[in-house]
Amino acid sequence: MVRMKNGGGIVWPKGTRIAVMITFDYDAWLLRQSRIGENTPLIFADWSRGMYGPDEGFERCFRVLKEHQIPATFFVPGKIAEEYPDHIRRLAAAGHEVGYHGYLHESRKGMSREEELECMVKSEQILQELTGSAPVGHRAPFGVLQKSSFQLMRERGYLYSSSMKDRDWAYLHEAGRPIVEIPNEMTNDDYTYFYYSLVTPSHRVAYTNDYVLDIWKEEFDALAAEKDKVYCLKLHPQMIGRASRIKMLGELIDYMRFKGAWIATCKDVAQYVLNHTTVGEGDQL
Amino acid sequence: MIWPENKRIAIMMAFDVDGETLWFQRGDGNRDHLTNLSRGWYDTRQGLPRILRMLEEHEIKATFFVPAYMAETYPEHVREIVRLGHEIAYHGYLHEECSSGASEEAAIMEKSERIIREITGKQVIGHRSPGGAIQDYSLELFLKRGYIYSSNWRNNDGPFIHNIEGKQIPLVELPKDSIFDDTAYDMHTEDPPPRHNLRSAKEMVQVWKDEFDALAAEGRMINFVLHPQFIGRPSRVKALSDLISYMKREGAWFETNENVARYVLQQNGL
Repeated sequence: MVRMKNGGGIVWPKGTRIAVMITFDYDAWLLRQSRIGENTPLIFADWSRGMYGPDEGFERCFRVLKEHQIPATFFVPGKIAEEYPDHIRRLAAAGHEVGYHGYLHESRKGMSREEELECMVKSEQILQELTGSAPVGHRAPFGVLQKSSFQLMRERGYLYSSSMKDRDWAYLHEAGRPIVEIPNEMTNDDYTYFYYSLVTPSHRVAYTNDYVLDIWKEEFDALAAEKDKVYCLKLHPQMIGRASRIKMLGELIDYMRFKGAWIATCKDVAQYVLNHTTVGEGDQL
Repeated sequence: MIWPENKRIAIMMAFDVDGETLWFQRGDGNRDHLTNLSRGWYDTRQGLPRILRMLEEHEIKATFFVPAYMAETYPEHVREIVRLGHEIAYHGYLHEECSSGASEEAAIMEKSERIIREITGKQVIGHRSPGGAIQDYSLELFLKRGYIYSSNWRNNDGPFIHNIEGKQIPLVELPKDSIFDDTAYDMHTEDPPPRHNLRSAKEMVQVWKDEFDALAAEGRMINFVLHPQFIGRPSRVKALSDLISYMKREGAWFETNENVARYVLQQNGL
């Protein structure tokens, strides 16, 4: 027998086999802007592609969640919330969770603690005004966590982080208290398959929906079979929000529900994990 | 090559346990990029346990090429791999590509071999170069340090005996290539140098299955190059497990690199 831990050993509620979180990083044009550098001008094509998120994708995402009656988590940069306050209010009214994702999707390595704190204070306030409560979830823009990120999360009362990629189970960074980590991974990120830009740094890939759906179903099935795992789907309204892709997402949701998924917000899953986990497994954070 | 027990083909399941050292060697080293490092940590925290369980179900022994930094950082993982009957082999200290000379490389090998020997009680006897780099002094070095095999050449579908200046040496080559390297299909990163075009687990193992069928018909071998931090994802381990079942049914001889090398040496009277 292999004497190596393979999972967190958690038992999910009501006989479900896996905790599934449908998450959207609602970055619009900031996704590309932060990728090429905050001070580099964004060409029209990249800006306009980002605007597909709020102008087209958002409604489709909102609708597919409503049709399937499932709650989701949206990580929204403060700036996007300022620009689209009505979208954020509607998310909150519909029972979706809104989490922190930078102010301008800042993803520069080595940001100072002061700078990061400023982004958090500003964005939290914007989100609180629109949703009625401060965000409790943190997802690092482009996966770039700063040295001070976890310390700031703790000080500011966050419940969970969803950026690490080291496990397929949700864990506590320290025993007995937040922060809970809800890992995600490139395989289950629509960016991997659907982001396209010819401009440096370019990303030129194309996939059929079936090809991606098949990958996501197989990942889901294999994780669900292990019983103590999470499946955190990471989506962007500007990519998954295309007409045919949103149908594919609907199919995936049906499939997962049929196969015993507990589909919940990151916040609810994190709270459950906090209540049902005793050990801390984080790293010098 | 005539394989033992009338087997049609020799299959070496071999894993490069690079972990975070793979990320240390990319771009600016990722020392301050926590989530990139965490992708490397997936190796020991999730990929490896899942793969070891799968191998145990199939009762197959594999070879693990482990950078000594990984062995130093995760000695209990290395002990567990050995306890389960698998082989540990050489893969650098920090997964570094050596190009600055025989003495520098000999020093890294000396240090890495010692670290692994102190954990496993055994000297490594197989070499797979990090990044695939081989120098004109490499064979001499392997020979001098008592290695019996190398898994670096890409020019052949079968094992062969190396020679120096036309004279056979007791060193077997167990070739490998990118076609049997999972990162050709399952490693995706945005950070320079970027790796795009992720393939499904199904497509990945289909490539391997097609090649297996044709190589088995010729009585050859496959030496895999698998990275637990990428192929350790649940759907990929499942696909790999299905492929192993298929290869078993189709007459594969599963052995460690070490045991295949010993067999080849013996067949050649070396």
